[in-house]
Amino acid sequence: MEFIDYYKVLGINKNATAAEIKKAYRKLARKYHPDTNPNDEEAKKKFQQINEANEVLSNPENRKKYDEYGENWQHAEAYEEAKKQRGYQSGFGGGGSYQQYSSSDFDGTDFSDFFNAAFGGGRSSGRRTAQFRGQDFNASLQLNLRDVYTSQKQVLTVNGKKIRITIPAGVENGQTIKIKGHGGEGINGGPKGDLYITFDIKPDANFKRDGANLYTEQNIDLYTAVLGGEVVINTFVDKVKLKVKPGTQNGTKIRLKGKGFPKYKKEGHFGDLYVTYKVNVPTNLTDEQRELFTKLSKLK
Amino acid sequence: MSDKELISIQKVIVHHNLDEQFIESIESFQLIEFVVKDSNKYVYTEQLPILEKIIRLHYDLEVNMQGIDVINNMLDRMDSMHKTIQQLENKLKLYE
Repeated sequence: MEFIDYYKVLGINKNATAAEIKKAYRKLARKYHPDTNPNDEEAKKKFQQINEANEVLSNPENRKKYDEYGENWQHAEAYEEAKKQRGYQSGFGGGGSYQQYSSSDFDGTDFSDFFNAAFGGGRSSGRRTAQFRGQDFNASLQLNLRDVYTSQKQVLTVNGKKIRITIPAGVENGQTIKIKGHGGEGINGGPKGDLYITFDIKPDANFKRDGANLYTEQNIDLYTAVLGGEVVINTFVDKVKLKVKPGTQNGTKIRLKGKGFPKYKKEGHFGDLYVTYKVNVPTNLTDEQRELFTKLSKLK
Repeated sequence: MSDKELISIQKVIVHHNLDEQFIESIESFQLIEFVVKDSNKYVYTEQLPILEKIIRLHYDLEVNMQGIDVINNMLDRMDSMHKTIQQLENKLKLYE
């Protein structure tokens, strides 16, 4: 457990007045409040730190203890005990009543180990703005591109509860879907929160995706490119035979309509597959081949 | 929209210890859409997180209604920009 310099957290000096503490706290709270910094874990962490600092420094009794023990807070309990035995009246976590900020993502009880050890883990403030609606849960789910080609049912365990969800075909990397009513329980008759799942879709080795369109490369030999021919191409789910036009250039792109990825929430609709031909130039020519290529070059 | 998807404003007021004036201000600034049924005011369940965010911004951070409106608009724009960035990032993967 590391000692936390609460004065440093709030950017104030040790002689700061109660008004200065309040001012510093409010300024930082406005800056880092999770409501104004959605999906920002760093801001959330910072907000927790400043909340914790305020919890200690805005309460005269707690501040006194904190100032008294400083970095030796670990020995505070033993010291207090000794004091008690000597007839002093003391103790951590005195009952102050000061406002604590809140947010949907932060319930104010997630304090550091340092705080919990030094101040007994108990909070003395009453939260005026407790949630009515249940807390929203956030989860991320890592999938392969192939996993989201078809709609599929999955069982997820969120906060110890098993939830069956259907992942619609065609979800995108980074997309978040809301599962209504699968968040935390509401308070005093409030509705349940929602579950938000963000998809992290790993790229595929053979296919690149842009929305519902897929992109792939197909090698063809020089002779097929020059003379034309047929080539078998792997689409995302099957194989198709394609005619290659004579004189096909390296980098030629062809479009296979409807052979791409399913369109999100548009059942039966698919994007296109774009195939780029990569012409393989023969290497390690035999003497005969070299001779023939030389003849060809002279025919130009 | 069924009644199940409506929450009585009175319940919210009691739970959050709000005053009626605050709710009226929200309504006059059109920050939330309220529904009136049998002379009682309700909010859609799906709007409740927004209402609770307004409560926090107002009471915790002392932001007035104009400020909340600005913050909400900015957050909407941020959200839209975040989506655009995500789409562009996905597109960039084509060239990796």
